[in-house]
Amino acid sequence: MDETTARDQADEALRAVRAASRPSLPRPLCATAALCAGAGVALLAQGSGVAKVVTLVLALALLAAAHLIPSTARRRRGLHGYRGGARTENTTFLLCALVLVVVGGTATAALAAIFVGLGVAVAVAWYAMLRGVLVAGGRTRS
Amino acid sequence: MTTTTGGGTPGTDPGLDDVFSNTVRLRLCAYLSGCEEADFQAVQDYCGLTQPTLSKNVTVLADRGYVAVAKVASGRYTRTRLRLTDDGRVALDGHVAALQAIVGQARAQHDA
Repeated sequence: MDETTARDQADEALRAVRAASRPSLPRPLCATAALCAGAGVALLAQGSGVAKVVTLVLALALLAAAHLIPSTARRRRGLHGYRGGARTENTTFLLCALVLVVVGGTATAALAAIFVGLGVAVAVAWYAMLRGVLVAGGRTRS
Repeated sequence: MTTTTGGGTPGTDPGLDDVFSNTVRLRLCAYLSGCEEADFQAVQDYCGLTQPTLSKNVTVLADRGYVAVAKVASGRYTRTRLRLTDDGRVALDGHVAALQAIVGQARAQHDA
């Protein structure tokens, strides 16, 4: 087999894996999920006392929605479960979320502004990932 | 027929699986490797094939043990779901690794 055919076939396989792992979703749906992710992170370090517990619960619900919205859309398209790189990415996201929840839950008011900024960054990154512009690891799709 | 699971077929490039010499079958298996299971319709839409053509390719892959086919009740209808088996995954990984090796060797020759 010559180099060009081999490269074409390898690229074709990579595109197919990506199409199943992270299918391109409609913009409004991606924007909603991104807003949920961003708002969830931003709310993690807000409030104090009872208000903090309420915002923490709300933040967890928003983070769950950020994951469930694209997953549900994917399932409706006939793709069930994750495998390979997408599963590893999901595990990484879950661990990051856990770290953010622990840090945000014990954060002082001084960190609230930082978490808002972090929320904006997360929203942008989540949207880019769902639209297929950004792949985990910082690589961009060609 | 010689079955190869990443080990290559005599007379062809080592590591390449003759089943995946058909691009449709390569695309199909690669698509299935990104999920646990996929509906037949979803695979058909992605591959852009007619139902008989996809069925024919799925049969070839199922005969090799690379793809498992299951019928799942969905309301009044029955959906066909496809899943890449462990053997299929090994074969696909081996084939893609062989493709990348060919590209890598060619690149090394160009650089030399």
